[in-house]
Amino acid sequence: MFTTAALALALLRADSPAVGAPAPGFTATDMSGKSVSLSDFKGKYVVIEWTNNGCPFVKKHYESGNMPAIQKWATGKGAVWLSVISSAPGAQGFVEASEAQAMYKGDYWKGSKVLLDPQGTLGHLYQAKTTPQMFVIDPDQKVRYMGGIDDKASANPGDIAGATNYVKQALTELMSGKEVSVPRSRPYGCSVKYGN
Amino acid sequence: MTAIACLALIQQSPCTAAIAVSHVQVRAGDTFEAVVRLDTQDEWHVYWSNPGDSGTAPTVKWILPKGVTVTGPEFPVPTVHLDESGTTFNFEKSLSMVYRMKVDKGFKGNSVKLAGHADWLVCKSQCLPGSADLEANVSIGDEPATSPDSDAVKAAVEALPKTSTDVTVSATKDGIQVGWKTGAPRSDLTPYFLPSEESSFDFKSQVWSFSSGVATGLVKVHPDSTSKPKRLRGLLYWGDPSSHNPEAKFAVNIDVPTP
Repeated sequence: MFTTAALALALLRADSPAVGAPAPGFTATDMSGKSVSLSDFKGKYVVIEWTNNGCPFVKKHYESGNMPAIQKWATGKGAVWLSVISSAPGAQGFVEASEAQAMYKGDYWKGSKVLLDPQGTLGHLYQAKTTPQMFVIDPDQKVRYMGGIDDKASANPGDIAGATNYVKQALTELMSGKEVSVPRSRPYGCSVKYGN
Repeated sequence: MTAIACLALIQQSPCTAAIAVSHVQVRAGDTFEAVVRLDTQDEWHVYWSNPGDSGTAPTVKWILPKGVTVTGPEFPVPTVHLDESGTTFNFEKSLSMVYRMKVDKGFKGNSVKLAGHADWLVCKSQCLPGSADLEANVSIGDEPATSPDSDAVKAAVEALPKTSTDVTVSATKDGIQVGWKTGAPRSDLTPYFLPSEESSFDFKSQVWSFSSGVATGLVKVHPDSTSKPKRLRGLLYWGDPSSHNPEAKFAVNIDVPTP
């Protein structure tokens, strides 16, 4: 007698977005209440970042100035940087639009738009698991990098100096006409605080 | 056991750390155990060596005198937790990490001072970092003497999954085939392989088969892995992996080279 048992735990959801495949299209609302679609940015590089301002891993990159520095560098190169907050109301990282506008500005944040995703729709579409978690999308709107912000999976700001920043590396390579040398990595951080 | 509250959040901390040693005195050349225990408040958890889709494993950075070496940590069997953001391997209530301390035969000195800096991430609906400085002293003498914490240390050691090489491993097109040579210890339950290292093998893609009481599993390399891991390290696990009841699960360590 020969029986097969598949692992039921695997069946959470369908396949993740894939490197080389078209990026899942979406329309979301930014912190100023405006509608934002991925298709608005055809022809540009787009970075999508999942964030949660209470997560120690996110704090590592924001309070050190590392994340805003990369945001400033990327947008200075013409890329669009979308920071997504998928925390549910009441969960760590959730902010109302007015709170977001007060926080995501100045030296703290140098991205293009903050997308509010309290229902987790965008997070589930991209199957975001951690904060931070990063995607780099090319001008043809294909996913070219997905994974962690860098190769040092820790919450210690002291690890930033010796880390390879995968997002900066991928954008640099793509903008130079090269293939992305590390197109995928394990994202690390806090779990995305979706609602139940 | 010496309990030390998380340094940053003395009153509100959902986690405390403590250290215990098996002996108050050992001889030069002996090995003894040190246990670092993390106790969490209800519903909070800390992570296994492979945290899964999020989180991070606790770490202890040891400062030891010359002539003393440490191996570990060894973890007990974690609970598998699934939620909207993925799968994690973690511990609720408490985690005891076991370290083995080896004192060289030529050790010079009257005592061994163990100093460790523990860091962890503790999560519930939010995640908080924590840290603590831990310290213990063990004398060097002619005869070993157990410590008042020796029973607690012994219990932590006995709670570790037992090591087994009673498995066969062979290569497949995109993964590893794992077989249990002498028949699964719990042929009435579906086994799982829990990889103990991040991004080595994909916990979610495994499929198990049974034939004449022998369990065979196909485990794929994790999609985030940049190369096929050289060793298959982790737990073969029978029972309900999401149960918090240790009696409801059975696991053995495996650590074998991959083909």
